[in-house]
Amino acid sequence: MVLNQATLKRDGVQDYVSLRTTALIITAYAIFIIGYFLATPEVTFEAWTGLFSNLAMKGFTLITLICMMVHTHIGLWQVLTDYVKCAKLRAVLGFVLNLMALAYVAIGLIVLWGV
Amino acid sequence: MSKDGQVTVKKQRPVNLDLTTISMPATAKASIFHRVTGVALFFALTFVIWAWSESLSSAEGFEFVKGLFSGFIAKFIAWGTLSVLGYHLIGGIRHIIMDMGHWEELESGNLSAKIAMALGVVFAVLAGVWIWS
Repeated sequence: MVLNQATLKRDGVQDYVSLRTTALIITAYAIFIIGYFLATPEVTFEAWTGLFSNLAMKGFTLITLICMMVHTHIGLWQVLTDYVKCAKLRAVLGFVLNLMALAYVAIGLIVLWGV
Repeated sequence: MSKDGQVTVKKQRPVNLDLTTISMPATAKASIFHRVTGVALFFALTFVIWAWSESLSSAEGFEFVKGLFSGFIAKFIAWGTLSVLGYHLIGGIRHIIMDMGHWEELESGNLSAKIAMALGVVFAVLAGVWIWS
């Protein structure tokens, strides 16, 4: 039973809920982008920058990237704890992969800022 | 149980986690593919975000990325990314349906795992047709 949610300590229930909710947002974004390419026979530079200069699209993209970071933080942790038995190596790999995810978000923010 | 009973029990536990020697049922395959595609997607994001960033940087950058897609390598990376995304989404949707209490029996679980993998292959084929046509 979850007795205390007002803590930064991780627990399984929080991981479970976060994994699913972020998955739903990422799915919605993926379907939207695939739908955009299917519905737009000839994607031009003007149309492409027009899409991402829209404030709603900037928000949707950034939220999706942050969801990706949360989702991969949990998912890659699950994979690493199952297959990498050496605690030091696991810590290093976790650090590098989480840093990569943060870089994806940071680059996304910088790109969106400039469109 | 005697004092050293715990030790004896520990020694008797069968340890066989060598994945190459375990016979994997459909549910196990569906699970491992979900993990593999998840990790693959994470690394595929490097290409996706790079192409996205470059295509939005300038008209020249956009044309450069567009030009790449006339070649095989960019098409193959895009197809691979779409294919692993497709299976990862299908596997994820199956997980959420299972969260709601369905497909938890041996037969239904195996069937839904097989259907999920089959749909993943169908998605990959459709993605290939879309990219190469």
